[in-house]
Amino acid sequence: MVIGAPLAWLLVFFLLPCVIVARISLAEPRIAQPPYSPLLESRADGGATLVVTTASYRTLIEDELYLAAYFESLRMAALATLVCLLLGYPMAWRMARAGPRWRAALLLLVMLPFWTSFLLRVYAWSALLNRHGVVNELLLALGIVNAPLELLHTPFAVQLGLVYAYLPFMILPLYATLERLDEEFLEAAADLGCPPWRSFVTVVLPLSLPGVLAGCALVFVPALGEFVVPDLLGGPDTLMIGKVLWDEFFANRAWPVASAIALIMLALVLVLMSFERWLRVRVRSS
Amino acid sequence: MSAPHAAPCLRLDALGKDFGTTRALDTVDLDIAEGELFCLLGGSGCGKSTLLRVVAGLEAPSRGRVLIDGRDVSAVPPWQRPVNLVFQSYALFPHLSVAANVAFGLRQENMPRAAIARRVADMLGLVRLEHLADRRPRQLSGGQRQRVALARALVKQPRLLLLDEPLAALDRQLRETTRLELVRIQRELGTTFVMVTHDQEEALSLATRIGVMADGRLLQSGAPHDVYERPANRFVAEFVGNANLLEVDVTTHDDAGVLLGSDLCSTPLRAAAASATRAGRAWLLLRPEQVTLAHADVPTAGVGDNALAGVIEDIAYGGDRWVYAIRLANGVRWRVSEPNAAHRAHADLTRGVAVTLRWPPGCGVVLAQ
Repeated sequence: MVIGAPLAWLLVFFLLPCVIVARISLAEPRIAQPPYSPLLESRADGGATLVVTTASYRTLIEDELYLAAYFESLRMAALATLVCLLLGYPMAWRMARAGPRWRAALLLLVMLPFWTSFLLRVYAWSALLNRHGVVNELLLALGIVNAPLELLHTPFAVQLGLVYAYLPFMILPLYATLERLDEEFLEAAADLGCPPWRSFVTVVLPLSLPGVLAGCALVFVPALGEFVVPDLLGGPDTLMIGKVLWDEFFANRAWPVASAIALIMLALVLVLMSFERWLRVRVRSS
Repeated sequence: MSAPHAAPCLRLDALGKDFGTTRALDTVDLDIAEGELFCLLGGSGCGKSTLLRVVAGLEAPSRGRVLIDGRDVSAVPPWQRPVNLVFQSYALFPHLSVAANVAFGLRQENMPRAAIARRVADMLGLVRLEHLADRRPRQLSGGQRQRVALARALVKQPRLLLLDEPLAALDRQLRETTRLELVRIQRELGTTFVMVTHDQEEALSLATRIGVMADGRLLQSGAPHDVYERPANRFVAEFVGNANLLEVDVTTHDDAGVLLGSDLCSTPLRAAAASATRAGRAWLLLRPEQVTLAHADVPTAGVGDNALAGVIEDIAYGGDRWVYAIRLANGVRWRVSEPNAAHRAHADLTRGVAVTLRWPPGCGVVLAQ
């Protein structure tokens, strides 16, 4: 029973949808309800034919749009992860080294954005970044620019949105590892001849690697499939796979292709996650 | 040993340290010569660990100076001091092997790899851990970790090695052998050791000199037997070893010694002149092994001995000796210990028996009140 309940949950709400999506990805598109071919099609002679085609997957390979979208998503997610790491590490470090009172306050500040809807916060960015938004008004008022900048609907806006949205997911696991790091290791390093920057490289960084890996996975994986940010902040030239999938599904009603995109995406994430897991095991044992 | 003109290896000059309004160290003056194994002894919170951390540079002094070989290092950061610390928790780096932990300090000096490898191998040999060079700290026992921590600090060849309760985390038997190991290594290298401990037995047995601390002050420093036999005050007397105390009046002193009056006996007690204090109320200190026991009805044995009456309240067997708890007429409990051989002659001394306590006039120490 104890094992049974979660297992049943996983079967019904995880494996079963995956099987359905896989099955749709192998169907032919139809202008019908639902918009794809049934698995078994009845013939005139009373028998039935199995309808299975890999046409959707072939489309993904043949049409450069999809490969480009996958590649662009990987690039954007990787860049967002890197920027989150570079911004989040010093923040997590300061939080972990702050006094207990400050620590609680800073932790609250990191969590605070979660109290409002993600969608609303991304909308807020679009208000900030548009031609007559706060950022442009400020730049104009200060005389830094003469004409408003095109900020919204650019790759820059998407990147900014991704970093903004996922920074807390980098900070929290980093904070958790750095907070547990014993101050005595730093003192021992200093005693053995390390100036502070060197203790950081030789002691703090290696000991916080599990947190770095966890933070990177938590940022990279959802950023890879992100739809809201490229949809609201990106322009027609921002090609992220989540956006492409949405268009195929809702605009083109091409359910089989959309399903194929989703499955490839899932496979990609699984490969990356197992790589992360392999790295984590190596870090722990070395 | 250093030449007479040379500066002491470590000199603390009116050293003080405050944490907020708490005074952790209060005007400590101390000289430690090269090659000493100096033990700082004190209860928890007496400031002994703070003192060590100030010498290591991990805490900045609030007042006074720290001098190493005559050079003021008060403002020198820890990574530039010729001093290394063995932490109480050992603080071994968990992500590095034993060999890499020991090599850590040398790497920071940009020493060639081959030289590092040689020094690390030598040091692991010294602490007898060659066979565990590739292990991680978490795969080691407590005693092995302690030796890695020692090797990691010693491999830097510091002018001064500081040890913060190095044996506290070990069980009793391991503590004994490790204590001997420490003395062996210290003699072999000739490095000056400054060690902090709360265990007086440990301090007395391995130190060349000890310093007793309380409330951030250094109360007394000297050779273990000096501190034990001639404590500077009542606190030191009670902290180092067992102390039997009797409240007395110092009446007169002459060349032969001092005469002490007590409510407990009609004839004055005698103590050595060297321990004389000014006239007035004082404490007479006697160590448990200085006092002998006899049946109260046996006539006076040694003429000129001091004598007091008491009743045996308890007897405990201590392996190599017997320990008696004696209740004096004023209700104070004394502790008297006798080696096994002497006890055999006293088989009739049992609980509840009235006894006479005796000690020669040269034994007692008079402490100011």
